Amino acid sequence: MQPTETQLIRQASKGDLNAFNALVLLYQEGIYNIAWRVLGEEMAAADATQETFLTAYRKLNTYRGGNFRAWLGQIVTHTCYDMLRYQKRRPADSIEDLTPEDNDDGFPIVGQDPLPEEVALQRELQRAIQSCMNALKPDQRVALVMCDVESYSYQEIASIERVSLGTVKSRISRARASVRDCLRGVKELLPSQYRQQL
Amino acid sequence: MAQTHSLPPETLEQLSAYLDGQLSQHEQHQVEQRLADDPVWQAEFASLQAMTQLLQELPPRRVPRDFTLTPKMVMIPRFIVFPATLPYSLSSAVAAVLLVTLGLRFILNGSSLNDLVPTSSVPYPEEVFRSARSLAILSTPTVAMTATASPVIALSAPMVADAVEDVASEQEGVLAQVAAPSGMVTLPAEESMARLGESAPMLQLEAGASPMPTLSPAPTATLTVVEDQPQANLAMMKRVSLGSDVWLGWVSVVGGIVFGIISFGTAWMRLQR
Repeated sequence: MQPTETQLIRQASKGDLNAFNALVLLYQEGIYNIAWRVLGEEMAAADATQETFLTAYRKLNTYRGGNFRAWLGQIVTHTCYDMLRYQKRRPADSIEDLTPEDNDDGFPIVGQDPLPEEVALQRELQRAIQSCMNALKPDQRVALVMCDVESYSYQEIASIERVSLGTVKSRISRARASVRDCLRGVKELLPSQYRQQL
Repeated sequence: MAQTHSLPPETLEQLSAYLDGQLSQHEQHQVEQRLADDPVWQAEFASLQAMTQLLQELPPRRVPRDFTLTPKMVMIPRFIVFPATLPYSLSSAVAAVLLVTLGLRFILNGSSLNDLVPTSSVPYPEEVFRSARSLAILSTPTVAMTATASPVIALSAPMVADAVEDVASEQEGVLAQVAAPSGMVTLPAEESMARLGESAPMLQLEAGASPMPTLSPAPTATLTVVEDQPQANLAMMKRVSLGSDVWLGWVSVVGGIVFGIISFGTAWMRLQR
Protein backbone atom coordinates (compact mmCIF):
# COMPACT_ATOMS: atom_id res chain seq x y z
CA MET A 1 0.00 0.00 0.00
CA GLN A 2 1.36 3.38 -1.05
CA PRO A 3 1.78 5.92 1.77
CA THR A 4 -0.45 8.95 1.54
CA GLU A 5 0.86 12.47 1.12
CA THR A 6 0.24 13.21 4.79
CA GLN A 7 2.21 10.14 5.84
CA LEU A 8 5.08 11.08 3.55
CA ILE A 9 5.15 14.60 4.96
CA ARG A 10 5.15 13.26 8.51
CA GLN A 11 8.01 10.86 7.75
CA ALA A 12 9.95 13.54 5.88
CA SER A 13 9.60 15.99 8.74
CA LYS A 14 11.32 13.38 10.94
CA GLY A 15 14.27 13.44 8.55
CA ASP A 16 13.29 10.59 6.24
CA LEU A 17 14.86 11.75 2.97
CA ASN A 18 13.32 8.92 0.95
CA ALA A 19 9.85 10.00 2.02
CA PHE A 20 10.63 13.57 1.05
CA ASN A 21 11.99 12.44 -2.32
CA ALA A 22 8.71 10.65 -2.95
CA LEU A 23 7.02 14.03 -2.48
CA VAL A 24 9.56 15.62 -4.82
CA LEU A 25 8.70 13.15 -7.57
CA LEU A 26 5.05 13.92 -7.01
CA TYR A 27 5.35 17.69 -7.35
CA GLN A 28 8.49 18.35 -9.33
CA GLU A 29 6.79 18.80 -12.69
CA GLY A 30 4.29 21.35 -11.40
CA ILE A 31 6.96 23.27 -9.52
CA TYR A 32 9.34 23.21 -12.45
CA ASN A 33 6.63 24.45 -14.80
CA ILE A 34 5.79 27.37 -12.52
CA ALA A 35 9.48 28.26 -12.34
CA TRP A 36 9.91 27.91 -16.09
CA ARG A 37 6.89 30.06 -16.93
CA VAL A 38 7.84 32.73 -14.44
CA LEU A 39 11.56 32.81 -15.19
CA GLY A 40 11.37 31.92 -18.89
CA GLU A 41 14.69 30.06 -18.78
CA GLU A 42 15.33 26.36 -18.53
CA MET A 43 18.48 26.49 -16.42
CA ALA A 44 17.16 29.14 -14.09
CA ALA A 45 13.95 27.17 -13.72
CA ALA A 46 15.90 24.01 -12.85
CA ASP A 47 17.92 25.92 -10.28
CA ALA A 48 14.79 27.44 -8.79
CA THR A 49 13.10 24.04 -8.61
CA GLN A 50 16.08 22.44 -6.89
CA GLU A 51 16.33 25.35 -4.49
CA THR A 52 12.61 25.08 -3.77
CA PHE A 53 12.80 21.45 -2.72
CA LEU A 54 15.94 22.04 -0.70
CA THR A 55 14.28 24.92 1.12
CA ALA A 56 11.13 22.88 1.60
CA TYR A 57 13.10 20.04 3.19
CA ARG A 58 14.93 22.39 5.54
CA LYS A 59 11.77 24.25 6.48
CA LEU A 60 9.51 21.26 6.71
CA ASN A 61 9.19 21.81 10.45
CA THR A 62 7.44 25.12 9.69
CA TYR A 63 4.77 23.40 7.60
CA ARG A 64 1.58 23.50 9.64
CA GLY A 65 -0.58 21.19 7.57
CA GLY A 66 -3.02 22.25 4.91
CA ASN A 67 -2.37 22.46 1.21
CA PHE A 68 1.13 21.10 0.62
CA ARG A 69 1.02 22.05 -3.07
CA ALA A 70 0.26 25.65 -2.14
CA TRP A 71 3.04 25.58 0.46
CA LEU A 72 5.49 24.45 -2.21
CA GLY A 73 4.01 27.04 -4.56
CA GLN A 74 4.78 29.74 -2.03
CA ILE A 75 8.40 28.64 -1.80
CA VAL A 76 8.88 28.44 -5.56
CA THR A 77 7.34 31.86 -6.17
CA HIS A 78 9.56 33.45 -3.55
CA THR A 79 12.57 31.70 -5.08
CA CYS A 80 11.57 32.99 -8.50
CA TYR A 81 11.14 36.53 -7.18
CA ASP A 82 14.63 36.34 -5.71
CA MET A 83 16.08 35.11 -8.99
CA LEU A 84 14.25 37.77 -10.97
CA ARG A 85 15.64 40.44 -8.68
CA TYR A 86 19.10 38.96 -9.19
CA GLN A 87 18.61 38.92 -12.97
CA LYS A 88 17.46 42.50 -12.87
CA ARG A 89 20.67 43.50 -11.12
CA ARG A 90 22.73 41.48 -13.61
CA PRO A 91 20.83 41.55 -16.89
CA ALA A 92 23.79 40.18 -18.87
CA ASP A 93 23.67 36.90 -16.96
CA SER A 94 20.72 35.50 -18.88
CA ILE A 95 22.06 32.13 -19.97
CA GLU A 96 19.15 31.49 -22.31
CA ASP A 97 20.31 34.41 -24.42
CA LEU A 98 23.72 32.84 -24.86
CA THR A 99 22.71 29.26 -25.56
CA PRO A 100 21.29 27.92 -28.81
CA GLU A 101 17.52 27.75 -29.21
CA ASP A 102 15.81 25.25 -27.02
CA ASN A 103 14.42 22.41 -29.09
CA ASP A 104 12.20 21.07 -26.34
CA ASP A 105 9.16 23.27 -25.91
CA GLY A 106 7.15 20.56 -24.23
CA PHE A 107 4.48 18.38 -25.69
CA PRO A 108 2.71 19.42 -28.87
CA ILE A 109 -0.56 21.24 -28.32
CA VAL A 110 -2.66 19.37 -30.86
CA GLY A 111 -2.97 15.87 -32.20
CA GLN A 112 -0.70 12.88 -32.28
CA ASP A 113 2.21 12.64 -34.72
CA PRO A 114 1.91 16.18 -36.00
CA LEU A 115 3.55 17.25 -39.21
CA PRO A 116 6.94 18.96 -38.94
CA GLU A 117 5.38 22.24 -40.07
CA GLU A 118 2.78 21.99 -37.31
CA VAL A 119 5.45 21.24 -34.74
CA ALA A 120 7.48 24.24 -35.88
CA LEU A 121 4.38 26.46 -35.77
CA GLN A 122 3.48 25.26 -32.29
CA ARG A 123 6.96 26.00 -31.04
CA GLU A 124 6.75 29.45 -32.50
CA LEU A 125 3.41 29.98 -30.82
CA GLN A 126 4.70 28.79 -27.46
CA ARG A 127 7.69 31.07 -27.73
CA ALA A 128 5.37 33.94 -28.59
CA ILE A 129 3.15 33.20 -25.59
CA GLN A 130 6.15 32.94 -23.29
CA SER A 131 7.53 36.15 -24.70
CA CYS A 132 4.23 37.91 -23.98
CA MET A 133 4.27 36.53 -20.45
CA ASN A 134 7.85 37.61 -19.92
CA ALA A 135 6.78 41.18 -20.69
CA LEU A 136 4.45 41.18 -17.68
CA LYS A 137 5.35 42.51 -14.28
CA PRO A 138 6.61 39.66 -12.08
CA ASP A 139 3.62 39.71 -9.73
CA GLN A 140 1.18 39.66 -12.64
CA ARG A 141 3.15 36.89 -14.32
CA VAL A 142 3.11 34.76 -11.19
CA ALA A 143 -0.64 35.27 -10.78
CA LEU A 144 -1.32 34.41 -14.42
CA VAL A 145 0.88 31.30 -14.38
CA MET A 146 -0.59 30.07 -11.12
CA CYS A 147 -4.16 30.68 -12.23
CA ASP A 148 -4.29 29.87 -15.94
CA VAL A 149 -1.37 27.49 -16.42
CA GLU A 150 -1.21 25.63 -13.11
CA SER A 151 -4.90 26.00 -12.16
CA TYR A 152 -4.42 27.35 -8.64
CA SER A 153 -7.53 28.94 -7.14
CA TYR A 154 -7.72 32.64 -6.30
CA GLN A 155 -7.66 31.74 -2.60
CA GLU A 156 -4.51 29.68 -3.04
CA ILE A 157 -2.81 32.46 -4.96
CA ALA A 158 -3.82 35.02 -2.34
CA SER A 159 -2.38 32.75 0.33
CA ILE A 160 0.82 32.12 -1.60
CA GLU A 161 1.36 35.77 -2.45
CA ARG A 162 0.06 36.98 0.91
CA VAL A 163 -2.24 39.49 -0.72
CA SER A 164 -5.98 40.04 -0.72
CA LEU A 165 -8.40 38.34 -3.11
CA GLY A 166 -9.07 41.71 -4.71
CA THR A 167 -5.39 42.12 -5.50
CA VAL A 168 -5.29 38.66 -7.05
CA LYS A 169 -8.33 39.47 -9.20
CA SER A 170 -6.74 42.70 -10.34
CA ARG A 171 -3.40 41.11 -11.15
CA ILE A 172 -4.95 38.28 -13.12
CA SER A 173 -7.24 40.60 -15.04
CA ARG A 174 -4.44 42.98 -15.99
CA ALA A 175 -2.15 40.12 -16.94
CA ARG A 176 -4.77 38.51 -19.15
CA ALA A 177 -5.53 41.77 -20.89
CA SER A 178 -1.82 42.42 -21.51
CA VAL A 179 -1.10 38.95 -22.86
CA ARG A 180 -4.19 39.04 -25.05
CA ASP A 181 -3.15 42.37 -26.54
CA CYS A 182 0.35 41.01 -27.05
CA LEU A 183 -0.93 37.86 -28.78
CA ARG A 184 -3.02 39.93 -31.15
CA GLY A 185 0.30 40.92 -32.66
CA VAL A 186 1.13 37.33 -33.61
CA LYS A 187 -2.26 36.17 -34.80
CA GLU A 188 -0.79 34.28 -37.74
CA LEU A 189 0.69 31.80 -35.29
CA LEU A 190 -2.59 31.15 -33.49
CA PRO A 191 -4.82 28.20 -34.28
CA SER A 192 -7.81 29.28 -36.33
CA GLN A 193 -10.38 29.01 -33.49
CA TYR A 194 -8.36 31.37 -31.32
CA ARG A 195 -7.57 33.68 -34.20
CA GLN A 196 -11.27 34.35 -34.63
CA GLN A 197 -12.00 35.08 -30.99
CA LEU A 198 -8.89 36.89 -29.97
CA MET B 1 -13.65 39.00 -34.26
CA ALA B 2 -13.62 42.04 -32.09
CA GLN B 3 -10.70 44.08 -30.93
CA THR B 4 -11.98 46.32 -28.25
CA HIS B 5 -10.06 48.41 -25.83
CA SER B 6 -13.00 50.52 -24.84
CA LEU B 7 -13.84 48.73 -21.61
CA PRO B 8 -12.34 50.18 -18.48
CA PRO B 9 -10.03 48.06 -16.28
CA GLU B 10 -12.76 47.63 -13.66
CA THR B 11 -15.03 46.01 -16.24
CA LEU B 12 -12.23 43.79 -17.48
CA GLU B 13 -11.59 42.75 -13.89
CA GLN B 14 -15.25 41.91 -13.48
CA LEU B 15 -15.26 39.84 -16.69
CA SER B 16 -12.03 38.09 -15.70
CA ALA B 17 -13.40 37.22 -12.27
CA TYR B 18 -16.67 36.12 -13.85
CA LEU B 19 -14.71 33.82 -16.13
CA ASP B 20 -13.18 32.15 -13.06
CA GLY B 21 -16.42 32.09 -11.09
CA GLN B 22 -15.08 34.52 -8.51
CA LEU B 23 -18.03 36.91 -8.37
CA SER B 24 -20.78 37.00 -5.81
CA GLN B 25 -24.20 35.86 -6.97
CA HIS B 26 -25.42 39.42 -7.29
CA GLU B 27 -22.38 40.54 -9.31
CA GLN B 28 -22.59 37.45 -11.47
CA HIS B 29 -26.22 38.22 -12.27
CA GLN B 30 -25.33 41.79 -13.24
CA VAL B 31 -22.53 40.65 -15.53
CA GLU B 32 -24.71 38.05 -17.21
CA GLN B 33 -27.38 40.66 -17.90
CA ARG B 34 -24.83 43.00 -19.40
CA LEU B 35 -23.30 40.24 -21.49
CA ALA B 36 -26.68 39.37 -22.92
CA ASP B 37 -27.24 42.96 -24.04
CA ASP B 38 -23.87 44.40 -24.90
CA PRO B 39 -21.89 43.11 -27.92
CA VAL B 40 -18.73 44.92 -26.74
CA TRP B 41 -18.89 43.04 -23.46
CA GLN B 42 -19.53 39.84 -25.40
CA ALA B 43 -16.48 40.34 -27.62
CA GLU B 44 -14.30 41.22 -24.69
CA PHE B 45 -15.42 38.22 -22.75
CA ALA B 46 -14.87 35.93 -25.75
CA SER B 47 -11.34 37.18 -26.23
CA LEU B 48 -10.49 36.69 -22.57
CA GLN B 49 -11.96 33.22 -22.67
CA ALA B 50 -9.92 32.31 -25.75
CA MET B 51 -6.74 33.63 -24.22
CA THR B 52 -7.14 31.70 -20.98
CA GLN B 53 -8.01 28.57 -22.92
CA LEU B 54 -4.84 28.99 -24.96
CA LEU B 55 -2.77 29.23 -21.77
CA GLN B 56 -4.50 26.29 -20.17
CA GLU B 57 -3.70 24.18 -23.20
CA LEU B 58 -0.04 24.96 -23.07
CA PRO B 59 1.80 21.64 -22.87
CA PRO B 60 3.65 21.08 -19.60
CA ARG B 61 7.40 21.33 -19.77
CA ARG B 62 9.29 18.13 -19.20
CA VAL B 63 11.56 18.24 -16.21
CA PRO B 64 15.17 18.12 -17.38
CA ARG B 65 16.08 15.81 -14.48
CA ASP B 66 14.81 14.55 -11.18
CA PHE B 67 15.07 17.06 -8.37
CA THR B 68 15.32 14.49 -5.59
CA LEU B 69 17.68 15.40 -2.80
CA THR B 70 20.80 13.54 -1.73
CA PRO B 71 22.15 13.35 1.84
CA LYS B 72 25.05 15.56 0.79
CA MET B 73 22.69 18.25 -0.51
CA VAL B 74 20.72 18.43 2.71
CA MET B 75 23.76 18.70 4.95
CA ILE B 76 23.64 21.85 7.00
CA PRO B 77 26.18 24.20 5.47
CA ARG B 78 29.18 25.08 7.58
CA PHE B 79 29.42 28.63 8.79
CA ILE B 80 31.81 30.40 6.50
CA VAL B 81 33.63 33.30 8.08
CA PHE B 82 35.23 34.49 4.87
CA PRO B 83 35.65 33.22 1.30
CA ALA B 84 37.32 29.86 1.75
CA THR B 85 39.69 30.04 -1.18
CA LEU B 86 43.16 28.63 -0.72
CA PRO B 87 45.15 31.82 -1.46
CA TYR B 88 42.88 33.80 0.84
CA SER B 89 43.24 31.26 3.61
CA LEU B 90 47.02 31.12 3.33
CA SER B 91 47.44 34.87 3.26
CA SER B 92 45.13 35.11 6.27
CA ALA B 93 47.27 32.55 8.06
CA VAL B 94 50.38 34.64 7.42
CA ALA B 95 48.55 37.71 8.70
CA ALA B 96 47.62 35.77 11.84
CA VAL B 97 51.26 34.83 12.46
CA LEU B 98 52.31 38.46 12.08
CA LEU B 99 49.57 39.51 14.48
CA VAL B 100 50.77 37.03 17.12
CA THR B 101 54.38 38.16 16.65
CA LEU B 102 53.43 41.79 17.06
CA GLY B 103 51.40 41.00 20.14
CA LEU B 104 54.29 39.08 21.72
CA ARG B 105 56.61 41.98 21.02
CA PHE B 106 54.25 44.33 22.83
CA ILE B 107 54.05 42.03 25.80
CA LEU B 108 57.75 41.23 26.06
CA ASN B 109 59.04 44.72 25.39
CA GLY B 110 56.67 46.44 27.75
CA SER B 111 56.10 50.10 27.09
CA SER B 112 56.56 50.95 23.51
CA LEU B 113 56.58 54.62 24.44
CA ASN B 114 60.14 54.28 25.63
CA ASP B 115 61.07 53.09 22.17
CA LEU B 116 59.34 55.90 20.47
CA VAL B 117 60.65 58.84 22.51
CA PRO B 118 64.41 59.37 22.73
CA THR B 119 65.68 59.24 26.29
CA SER B 120 69.07 60.88 26.03
CA SER B 121 69.12 63.16 23.05
CA VAL B 122 68.07 66.77 23.43
CA PRO B 123 66.98 68.62 20.35
CA TYR B 124 68.72 71.76 19.28
CA PRO B 125 67.05 74.68 20.99
CA GLU B 126 67.58 76.94 18.00
CA GLU B 127 65.25 74.79 16.00
CA VAL B 128 62.83 74.58 18.83
CA PHE B 129 62.66 78.28 19.40
CA ARG B 130 62.68 79.30 15.78
CA SER B 131 59.84 77.04 14.87
CA ALA B 132 57.99 78.15 18.01
CA ARG B 133 56.75 74.65 18.54
CA SER B 134 56.62 72.91 21.82
CA LEU B 135 59.09 70.31 22.77
CA ALA B 136 58.44 67.99 25.58
CA ILE B 137 61.03 65.67 26.90
CA LEU B 138 58.84 63.26 28.72
CA SER B 139 61.26 60.61 29.72
CA THR B 140 64.37 60.89 31.85
CA PRO B 141 65.77 63.49 32.29
CA THR B 142 62.44 65.01 33.22
CA VAL B 143 62.81 68.40 31.66
CA ALA B 144 60.58 70.04 29.09
CA MET B 145 61.07 73.34 27.36
CA THR B 146 58.64 75.25 25.24
CA ALA B 147 58.80 78.59 23.51
CA THR B 148 55.74 80.47 22.45
CA ALA B 149 57.09 83.79 21.35
CA SER B 150 59.28 84.52 18.41
CA PRO B 151 62.88 83.45 18.81
CA VAL B 152 64.24 85.30 21.77
CA ILE B 153 66.94 83.12 23.14
CA ALA B 154 69.70 81.60 21.13
CA LEU B 155 71.60 78.95 22.95
CA SER B 156 74.13 76.65 21.53
CA ALA B 157 72.97 73.10 21.47
CA PRO B 158 75.82 71.61 23.44
CA MET B 159 75.31 74.17 26.16
CA VAL B 160 71.66 73.40 26.60
CA ALA B 161 72.31 69.72 26.47
CA ASP B 162 74.82 70.04 29.26
CA ALA B 163 72.53 72.26 31.24
CA VAL B 164 69.68 69.86 30.93
CA GLU B 165 71.78 66.97 32.04
CA ASP B 166 72.97 68.91 35.03
CA VAL B 167 69.49 69.98 35.98
CA ALA B 168 68.37 66.41 35.74
CA SER B 169 71.19 65.16 37.83
CA GLU B 170 70.74 67.70 40.58
CA GLN B 171 67.00 67.85 40.69
CA GLU B 172 65.81 64.57 39.50
CA GLY B 173 62.13 64.53 38.78
CA VAL B 174 61.79 68.24 38.36
CA LEU B 175 59.78 69.12 35.36
CA ALA B 176 60.82 72.38 33.82
CA GLN B 177 58.55 73.86 31.26
CA VAL B 178 58.75 76.99 29.23
CA ALA B 179 55.46 78.56 28.29
CA ALA B 180 53.59 75.47 29.46
CA PRO B 181 49.82 75.52 29.93
CA SER B 182 47.94 77.20 32.70
CA GLY B 183 49.38 77.90 36.06
CA MET B 184 52.80 78.81 34.83
CA VAL B 185 54.80 81.89 35.50
CA THR B 186 55.92 84.12 32.71
CA LEU B 187 59.23 85.76 33.28
CA PRO B 188 61.50 87.98 31.26
CA ALA B 189 64.27 86.12 29.57
CA GLU B 190 66.91 87.39 31.93
CA GLU B 191 65.00 86.23 34.94
CA SER B 192 64.29 82.98 33.27
CA MET B 193 67.92 82.40 32.75
CA ALA B 194 68.54 83.34 36.34
CA ARG B 195 66.01 80.79 37.49
CA LEU B 196 67.68 78.22 35.36
CA GLY B 197 70.91 79.18 36.96
CA GLU B 198 69.41 78.75 40.41
CA SER B 199 68.22 75.32 39.77
CA ALA B 200 71.13 74.38 37.59
CA PRO B 201 74.33 76.13 38.45
CA MET B 202 76.13 74.39 35.69
CA LEU B 203 74.01 76.13 33.16
CA GLN B 204 74.92 79.48 34.60
CA LEU B 205 78.53 78.46 34.58
CA GLU B 206 78.38 77.37 31.00
CA ALA B 207 76.49 80.47 30.03
CA GLY B 208 79.09 82.64 31.67
CA ALA B 209 81.93 80.87 29.98
CA SER B 210 80.50 81.43 26.61
CA PRO B 211 79.15 84.45 24.80
CA MET B 212 75.95 82.52 24.65
CA PRO B 213 73.18 82.82 25.49
CA THR B 214 72.43 85.96 23.61
CA LEU B 215 69.19 87.66 24.19
CA SER B 216 67.06 89.28 21.60
CA PRO B 217 66.16 93.00 21.80
CA ALA B 218 62.84 92.13 23.36
CA PRO B 219 63.49 89.07 25.41
CA THR B 220 60.16 87.61 26.46
CA ALA B 221 60.92 83.98 26.78
CA THR B 222 58.90 82.33 29.46
CA LEU B 223 60.18 79.69 31.74
CA THR B 224 58.37 77.90 34.43
CA VAL B 225 59.88 75.37 36.70
CA VAL B 226 57.20 73.12 38.00
CA GLU B 227 58.49 71.53 41.08
CA ASP B 228 55.29 70.15 42.48
CA GLN B 229 54.81 67.67 39.64
CA PRO B 230 57.44 65.16 40.50
CA GLN B 231 58.09 61.72 39.19
CA ALA B 232 54.64 60.59 40.18
CA ASN B 233 53.08 61.93 37.01
CA LEU B 234 55.70 60.44 34.82
CA ALA B 235 55.53 57.11 36.58
CA MET B 236 51.78 57.09 36.20
CA MET B 237 52.13 57.87 32.50
CA LYS B 238 54.54 55.01 32.14
CA ARG B 239 52.29 52.65 34.05
CA VAL B 240 49.30 53.56 31.89
CA SER B 241 51.38 53.22 28.75
CA LEU B 242 52.87 49.93 29.86
CA GLY B 243 49.48 48.57 30.87
CA SER B 244 47.81 49.51 27.62
CA ASP B 245 50.67 48.05 25.60
CA VAL B 246 50.53 44.74 27.41
CA TRP B 247 46.77 44.69 27.09
CA LEU B 248 47.06 45.44 23.37
CA GLY B 249 49.69 42.73 23.10
CA TRP B 250 47.43 40.12 24.67
CA VAL B 251 44.53 41.15 22.43
CA SER B 252 46.81 40.79 19.40
CA VAL B 253 48.06 37.39 20.51
CA VAL B 254 44.64 35.96 21.31
CA GLY B 255 43.09 37.46 18.18
CA GLY B 256 45.97 36.21 16.07
CA ILE B 257 45.68 32.70 17.48
CA VAL B 258 41.92 32.54 16.80
CA PHE B 259 42.36 34.05 13.35
CA GLY B 260 45.23 31.64 12.68
CA ILE B 261 43.22 28.58 13.69
CA ILE B 262 40.41 29.60 11.34
CA SER B 263 42.81 30.46 8.50
CA PHE B 264 44.96 27.34 8.82
CA GLY B 265 41.86 25.21 9.28
CA THR B 266 40.23 26.60 6.16
CA ALA B 267 43.43 26.21 4.17
CA TRP B 268 43.76 22.64 5.40
CA MET B 269 40.16 21.87 4.43
CA ARG B 270 40.70 23.34 1.00
CA LEU B 271 43.82 21.22 0.54
CA GLN B 272 41.94 18.10 1.61
CA ARG B 273 39.33 18.57 -1.11
